[in-house]
Formats: sequence, structure tokens, C-alpha cells
Amino acid sequence: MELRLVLLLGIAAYVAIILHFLKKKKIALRRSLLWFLLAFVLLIMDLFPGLVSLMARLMGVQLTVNAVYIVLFFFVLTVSFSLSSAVTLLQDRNKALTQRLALMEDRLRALESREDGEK
Amino acid sequence: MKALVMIPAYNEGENIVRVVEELTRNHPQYDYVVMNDHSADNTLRLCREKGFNILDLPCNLGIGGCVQTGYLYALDRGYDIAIQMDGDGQHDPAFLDALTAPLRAGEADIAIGSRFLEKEGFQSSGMRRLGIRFLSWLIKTMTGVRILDVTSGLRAVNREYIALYARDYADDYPEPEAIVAAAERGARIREVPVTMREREHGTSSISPLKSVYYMIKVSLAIVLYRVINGRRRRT
Repeated sequence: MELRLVLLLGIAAYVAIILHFLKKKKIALRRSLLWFLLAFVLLIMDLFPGLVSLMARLMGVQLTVNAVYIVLFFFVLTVSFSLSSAVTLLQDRNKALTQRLALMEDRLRALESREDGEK
Repeated sequence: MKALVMIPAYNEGENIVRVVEELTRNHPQYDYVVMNDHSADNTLRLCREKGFNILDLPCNLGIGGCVQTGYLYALDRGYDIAIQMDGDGQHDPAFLDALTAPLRAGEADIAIGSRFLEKEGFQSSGMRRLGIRFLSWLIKTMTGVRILDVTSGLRAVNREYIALYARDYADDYPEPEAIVAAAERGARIREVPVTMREREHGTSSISPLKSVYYMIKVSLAIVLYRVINGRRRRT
């Protein structure tokens, strides 16, 4: 019972942190949804521990807590892989912008020096 | 035919002026552009002082993104031939005519300056040659195209492949991958014998530890290319 209470407090703190980040605009609402989902799932697990035991039995895992670890591990794995993918996308965009900027600057300089010549 | 020499430069303050002046003095028929990959040294200042034609990247992209900027420039300006030439003085512009000859004659789409055809000049260390031979074998196996000097950074590319590389070019250690990408599209790739010099100043970008990463990354990229893009094109 005590553990579940501590967990509840933990979840509350976790949600508060997400809200704080949202307020400071350090995370986009779109990207925070996943983390709210996690908070929701944790809350369900905390309120209805029977569900977790059932899940562990269905998975064929003897120790309930191990089932929780497995699920959370895959959740984290998925998130971190999607971050790698997001970084790749950002890197590509950054590269394209950098290249375009260099080409534009070159054109601009050529234009300016031609104008200087005309004066 | 309009030909552009693209010179990627990262911290080449000690070499760049000599490299560009050797090119412009002896081979004025070639246009050139220096791509400065956000060097930390005086590369940019020297080039501006000398009035060189230079593209200045506002962040460091690495060799792949840097060279690709040159291809974008070549595409933009409608060049018929784009030539990659290192900014460290390893490549002798005296070979430019021989290198571009197969492209001018329409006999090849891409020409690669090769150290190993006539085995003259700077040949690189034994370990490196072994690595290059392995990559060469891997590319042969995967694409059916036989290139000896797969890591050579001295290469000439025609319009069609300028467009390809402007669109898609690997970020790091791109040379072998670029061969595979072109070979997959059926490019006619020709090797041209050249001699290379050992760099006079500065250090090569590839340290011993990095060469392990190099081999793994490049090998994986070549194999994955086949896996991702499907069936082998038979020549």
C-alpha cells in the first residue's frame, strides 16, 4: 500500500514536470503526448495492480515486476530509436540549410561587388 | 565543355593558397570553387584576401556535406563536368586533362584518379592499401564494377551524376559509397592513372582509430546499399 502511495506521488511529480516544460515551451505539446500516455499507463498500473499481475501471467513471466521492466524497457527503446531517427531528419535539414546559405551568400557577395563596381 | 574543380577545405590554411594558385596559374581553363567547411584556422581569411572563389559553410558539415555543396554549386551553374580535388595538395592538377578526357569523349560518366593503376607516386601505407583492396573487392562483389582506388578523392563527374550527388551524397567517408551509388544506376566508371603526393602540411583526417570505424562504416554502407536498394544490376 505504501509503495503504491509513493508511486502515486512520483507520477504526480512527473506530470507536474511535463506541465512545467510545456509552460516554458521546452517541449512541444505534440511531443509531450507520449509522455502523458506513459503517466497514464503508470497510473492505471498503480491503481489496479491486479492488471499488472494478469499481464505478467499472460506473458508467462513469473515475477510480476519483471514483466513491468520488460514493457518499460521496450517503451524506452522505441522512444530512443525514434529520437535517433528524428536527429537524422534534423541533421539532413540542417545540412541542406547550411549548403543553401553558403550558396546564397556567394550570390549575394557577387551581386554586391557588381553594384559597387557600377557606382 | 564547362568544367569546375571543387576543392573541399577544412583547416587547410597551410595548403590552400598553394593548391589554388597552382591550379589557376597552370590550368586557367578550369573554373574552381573552394568549399570552406567552417575551418577553425585562417583558411577563409586567406581565401578572401586572395580573392579566391569560395563558398563558406556557416557550420561544419564534414567532408560529405562539404563536397556536396560543390556539386550543388556545379548543378546551379550548369557545369558539364565537376572535379573533386583535395585541398591539401595531394592531387596534382597536371592530371586534370587526363582525368576529364574520358568524360569529354563521352566514354565514361565518372572518372577516378587511381594511384594503383601504374603504382607510381605516393602509395599510402600497407595497412591502408589492404583496407582499400578489401573495399575494392567488396564493391566488385556487390555491384560488379571493378575499381582499384575506391577511396581516391580525385574524381571527375558528368552532368547526370552531378545531379545525383547534389541530391544524395554520404556524410562521412563518402568516396566508396559514391561509387556504389553511381554503379547502381549503371554509371560507366573509368579509372585513370595518376600519381599522388604526400601531403606537405597538416594531418590526414583519418587517424588509426578512425580507420577502424572507417572500414566498418563503409563496408556496412556498401552491403546495406544492396540490401536496401534490392537486386543487383548486371553489367
